[in-house]
Amino acid sequence: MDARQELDERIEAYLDGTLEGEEARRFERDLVQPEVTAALREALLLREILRSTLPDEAPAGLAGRIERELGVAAPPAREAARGSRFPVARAALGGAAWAWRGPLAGFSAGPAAELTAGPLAETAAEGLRPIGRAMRAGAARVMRRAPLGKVSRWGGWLRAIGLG
Amino acid sequence: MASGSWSEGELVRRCREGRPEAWREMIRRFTPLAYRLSARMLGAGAEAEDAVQEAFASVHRSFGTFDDQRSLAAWISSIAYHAALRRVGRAARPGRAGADPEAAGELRDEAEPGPEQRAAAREAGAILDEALGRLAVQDRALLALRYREGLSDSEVAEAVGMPVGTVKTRLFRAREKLREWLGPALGE
Repeated sequence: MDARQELDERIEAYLDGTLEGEEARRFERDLVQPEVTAALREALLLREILRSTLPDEAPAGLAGRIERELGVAAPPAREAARGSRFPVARAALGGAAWAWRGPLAGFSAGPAAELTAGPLAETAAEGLRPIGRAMRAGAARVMRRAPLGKVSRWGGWLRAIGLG
Repeated sequence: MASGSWSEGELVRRCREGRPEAWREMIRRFTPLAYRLSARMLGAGAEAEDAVQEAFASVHRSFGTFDDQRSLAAWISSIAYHAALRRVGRAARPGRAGADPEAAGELRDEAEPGPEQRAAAREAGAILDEALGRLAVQDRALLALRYREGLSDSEVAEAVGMPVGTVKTRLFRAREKLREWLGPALGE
């Protein structure tokens, strides 16, 4: 091993923290020599360059592809599944909200909004028809009996459902 | 206990039990290391990613043979190293075999770099890229394992299947070549 390689190995051991005791002290004493200091500085810079020129993370999606290939990918999130459970009950509740607060409330947002189209809407509508008929009949009786001023608060949605 | 806090021993045990969440944690922990090594050997891109996928398939298949006395990082590095080495003939051409130039240019800096600094970093990264591309692919792997992944000489030797003395000599010669080629960048 030549002198250059020997110095290089001492520097590497020093930077790794594996140069101990008297050997470490001897190396630090040698740092007064310009060539030793220069070699140490170059080694530090080279280590930093080699450490910093590779990304910390793998490309996006690579871990997911590996998971799927090995058959260990996590199952899909439960929230999407939970939102589609009990569609008829959710439709009925959405319809009840409509009956209390007006036509927009039951259909404007949330799960009930998804049920204004498609086969589930038919099922929901079928369930709501008797309730709707009864509520419209009751509202009509209120309309006939109540003074105009008292129905003004409800006038808007009554008109919307065809009773005003 | 969250999977991120499992010790290496716990991770190995749970993977041996075939638990999917343990394998997901294994993949999360070691995909960056495997990718960095592959990218250093093959260049960043699809080839390196495919090598990593191949490596993990091999890790999964052969996990029953893993010796608990070994370092998991060194074992996975070994599998990733050989997976990349098999692809060397199809891989990036000389001069592109280092890191992605964009990544290579992003030298760590606490302050937000300005445009000139970013341009200088990219140029430095490209110069390093070219210099690394002139080294043998095995030497690029040794440098990546030693200085980016922080493996000891003996762990590097274990990963690449070379004697420790050979690893030390090859690392010394690789550093000498880089010092020669990068001389101006190393701060005269």
